[in-house]
Amino acid sequence: METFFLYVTIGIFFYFLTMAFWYGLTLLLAYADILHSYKEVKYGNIFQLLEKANYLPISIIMPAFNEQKRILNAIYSVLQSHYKKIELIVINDGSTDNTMDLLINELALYEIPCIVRQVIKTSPIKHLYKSRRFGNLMVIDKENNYMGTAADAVNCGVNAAATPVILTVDGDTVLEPEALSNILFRFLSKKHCITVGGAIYILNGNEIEHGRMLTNLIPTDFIPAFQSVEYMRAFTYGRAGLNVFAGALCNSGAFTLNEASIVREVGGYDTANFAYDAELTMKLHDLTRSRKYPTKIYFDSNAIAWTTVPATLRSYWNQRNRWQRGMLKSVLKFKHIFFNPKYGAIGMIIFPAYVLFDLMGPIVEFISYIIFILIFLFFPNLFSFPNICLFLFFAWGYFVVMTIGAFYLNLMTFNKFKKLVLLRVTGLVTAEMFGFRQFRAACCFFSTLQYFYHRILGKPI
Amino acid sequence: MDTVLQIIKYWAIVQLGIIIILIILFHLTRFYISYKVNRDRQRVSKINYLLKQLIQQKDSLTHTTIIFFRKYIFDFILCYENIDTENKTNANWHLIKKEIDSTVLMPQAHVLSFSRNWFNRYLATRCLELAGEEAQEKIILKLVEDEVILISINVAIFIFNHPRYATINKLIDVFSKTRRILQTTFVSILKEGGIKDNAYISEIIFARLAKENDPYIRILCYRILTVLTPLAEYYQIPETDLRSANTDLKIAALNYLCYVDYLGHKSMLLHYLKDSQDEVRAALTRELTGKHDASLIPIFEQMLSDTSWWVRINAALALKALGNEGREALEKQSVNKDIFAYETAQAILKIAKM
Repeated sequence: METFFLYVTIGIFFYFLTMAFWYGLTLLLAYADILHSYKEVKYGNIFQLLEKANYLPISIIMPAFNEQKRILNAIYSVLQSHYKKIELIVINDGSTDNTMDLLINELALYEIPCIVRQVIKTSPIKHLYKSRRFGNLMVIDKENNYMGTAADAVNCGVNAAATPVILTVDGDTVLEPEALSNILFRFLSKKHCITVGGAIYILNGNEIEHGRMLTNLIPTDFIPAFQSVEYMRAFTYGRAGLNVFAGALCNSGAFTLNEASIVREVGGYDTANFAYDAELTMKLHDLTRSRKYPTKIYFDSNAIAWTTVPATLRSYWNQRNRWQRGMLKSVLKFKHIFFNPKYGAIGMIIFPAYVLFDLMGPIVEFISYIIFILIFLFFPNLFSFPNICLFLFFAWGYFVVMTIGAFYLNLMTFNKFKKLVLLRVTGLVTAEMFGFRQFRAACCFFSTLQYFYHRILGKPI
Repeated sequence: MDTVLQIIKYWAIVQLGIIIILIILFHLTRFYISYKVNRDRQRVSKINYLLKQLIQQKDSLTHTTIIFFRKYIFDFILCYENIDTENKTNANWHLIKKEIDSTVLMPQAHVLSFSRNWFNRYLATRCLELAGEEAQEKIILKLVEDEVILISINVAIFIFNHPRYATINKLIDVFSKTRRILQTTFVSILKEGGIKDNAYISEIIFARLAKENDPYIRILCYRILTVLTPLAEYYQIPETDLRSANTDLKIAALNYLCYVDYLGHKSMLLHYLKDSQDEVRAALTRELTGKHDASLIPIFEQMLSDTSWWVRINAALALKALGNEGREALEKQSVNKDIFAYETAQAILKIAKM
């Protein structure tokens, strides 16, 4: 038994070593990508470049469900963007609060005929409005489809959009004024680009006035602050680093630009998937690689949106539970991509890395905690206390390196924070190791169990 | 196990080292960036100074100056544009400009157009724009094929501002086969930007239409023609396009006819309002809405009973756009006659009252 635990421990060690190597590599690639795009933006005078591209209209799709407290900031932030050739489509997804009344009064809405073609099937539209205050704003009031995702509302917006490019922005998200120009710059300056994902920062605890960010801070509350560090890591090496391989497998639905025709071609977002944004990205990769299209999916670190994240452990657990189940569903749907050479770098590198490290990482992490506890209880002589401390120091050092690496990259390029925040980030990475990471690992582990349990029993996933 | 622990121990020390290196690197990079910004500023001042010296004829365009301008072409373009705006009427500037176009901009456009870096190719398009008529055809033909939208769109605009037979035809070839988004953006830019030599472009496009069979090329030709000023000699198009099995081509051709000579083709257009394809009926109804022709009221009224809801909605909107007479036609609809027509009319009337 002791030998068994020893080999399992060595196996886990090598698993994490491989994972560390992969994330280290993507961080290095992220350095190359972000520094390169920083050079382009800084010395490329992008506003002059975009002067001509200002003719390209963008439809911004903003799904909203019970967002009465945040929706107006989101709308104003979009309308105040430097890029003006926009058509904003807000979709009230059957809100049960006063979202719709608020929109009608604040935006001076008036009803127009419902002329939205159901290219993608969605729940029925109740009313269609235009704004008297803003000529480029439309509000769709639709029934909720009770699947618990915003996918149906986004699909409804895709149906209503009449422009070749669409951008999804969540109803609790605030855009930086130059975010639209930046994301469009990336879209137009890359060959065969069909999708560009933007960077997401944490909005909690920041002051906003009429859609303008008055402060750019890491949240003061612990749970959003931990997520801030988590997002920074994920968006730096989990997205920017993958640009070199034609794109990440998940661009956040909170802020992503897509070519409208291809979204319609793949049938829009999966309304029964909690990770519908990841599912769409996989679907796009699947379609384009299988048909040998040369298209690419990118991430832009310079296009920044601020979004609200769960502020309590309970809501955090619920969110991650849904994401983990959604990601599992997506991965199983596209399992044929796994180590499939037909899909090129996506099939041989990105998808396996996504499954083995992003999806399975927290699960293996949780199992390793259990094994450590079992060893500590039943085979205390297998590892000495100093050795366990060495392991922990190794793991902590690794996360500090990765986080500080990602953070430095931010500070050097498209920085939104002050330099002093660095100390806080280091503190948060340290604190994260004492409870929060374990909580997240447990959440992902139990969500995975729940997913397979429901699948076996034939219950809705 | 001891080996594993040894590895961990050494790796932990390496990690500590990496953290320290990152801190040092961070400060070095920031220092380098601020140094580079200063250096760039100085270079821009130098280019401005040299250009002003040239205008005041205090200096001539030497080989060293040409090399310097070519080397820092991005900064040079920015300075050149500013100086050009400030000296529009200065005869000296126009003289020196010609020399710069042939010694700096055109050679550099040629070199940069072969670059693997998209930004350099973009700079090549900027050089073309500034050089204007001097631009070499082969560079234009190469750049219009570029897969980066920002580049191909800029070259396409340049082509329409400086039209030539070969470049317009190349543009049609490339844009008709490329992503739809490129075509849409380009046509939208033409619509809003205006075109200088309208008649010459129409002539080239019609010459192309006369010998072209590819439906996608024909669609693009019609789409471009609908943003140019209509010319009387180009009012007729082949009937084969109107009978084409390709719905997009049929719609593009009908839109063109509607745009150039609605009254001349009215009877033919009305015939297509009864087309078997609902996309054609709907698109044509939408196009005719803008004509504000009250004689179409009975036809639109009939179309309220169309089998396709999309056509019904467009017909009702067309009636609404025709003012009181159109509104009366909508109010006339009865639930006993046709429930769909009635419902469509009521929906539009309800909105019209708001």
